[in-house]
Amino acid sequence: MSKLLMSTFIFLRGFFIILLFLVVGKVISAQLPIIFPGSIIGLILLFFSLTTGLIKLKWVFTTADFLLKYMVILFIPLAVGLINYFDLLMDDWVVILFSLFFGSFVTMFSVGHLFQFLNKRYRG
Amino acid sequence: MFFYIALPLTLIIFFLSKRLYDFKPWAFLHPFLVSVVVLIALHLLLNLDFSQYQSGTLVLTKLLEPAVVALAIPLFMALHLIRQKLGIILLSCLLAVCISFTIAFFILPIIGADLQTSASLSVQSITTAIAVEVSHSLGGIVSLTAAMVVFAGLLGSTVGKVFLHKVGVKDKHAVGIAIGCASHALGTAKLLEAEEHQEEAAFSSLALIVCAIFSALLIPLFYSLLF
Repeated sequence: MSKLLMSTFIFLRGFFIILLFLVVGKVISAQLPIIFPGSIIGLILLFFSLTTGLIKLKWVFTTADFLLKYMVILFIPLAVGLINYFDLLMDDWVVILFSLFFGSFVTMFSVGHLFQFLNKRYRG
Repeated sequence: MFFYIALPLTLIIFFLSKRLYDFKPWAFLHPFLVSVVVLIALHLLLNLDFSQYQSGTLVLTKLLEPAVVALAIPLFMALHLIRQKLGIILLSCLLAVCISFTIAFFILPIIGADLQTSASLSVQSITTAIAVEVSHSLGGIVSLTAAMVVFAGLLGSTVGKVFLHKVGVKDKHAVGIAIGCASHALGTAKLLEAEEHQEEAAFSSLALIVCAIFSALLIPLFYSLLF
């Protein structure tokens, strides 16, 4: 029982810290003159808090690990929402398919090769 | 009624798809893809109300933001790797953003895209939150952008790794960067699933963040300079 309580505590502590950074990120985002998502600001702040030791990795590790392991589930409702865009997709399907495949593959190919080349060249 | 079963239904379908994928690990049986196809088919066949599904699964959509914040953890754990390679990571992400911009605004018009469509598609490979904002600020169609982001993510998370191996990108870190640049959080989420891909996932998270930041800053800038 106390073990269960302990892991619940660890999970909630991590979740609370993550939410705190999200909220701070959102507050900052609302003040910025340019449009920039609060979640990315929260991410950057949490990253720097971890590097400076303000937040200990073990405080957030379990929760983050859980969230990220099942992150793909979080995108399901968004993707099911494509139902509403069928007309839009049909109208421009040539451009859309081309952009999707050509864009993604050219990006992956070029970026992958550039990084691999530079990584080999400047190793060590 | 459907409101209450939307969430359990989604989870059950996902875990069943995952079992199927463990059994037959083919790219097109990716659990995400199977779950989405099954759920869309259910909506169409049973004439279900999507707005009820949407509110029933709101907790999942809401958790996306904390999950993005949680990406700081794999990033921090790969700090020593990233520190050595920051320059080439930044350069690679800059290339990715320039490619997206060039394709959207210079190649798509050749095959008949108008400026609005180009603007909507120029941000297909960055994370939803930023993609939607940037598309909106360029006068794009926000729902089209949201759909494209999901498609691009799906493409990279299903065939990304296989494609990169086929074209000779074998370096783990390069695979991570390429997937992060082309398929944002969805590609990263796929890498995070497997224990042996943690290094790729760290590079992928970094790439998705850097690309998001570069896109948010550069795409509106390029756009205002050119059009």
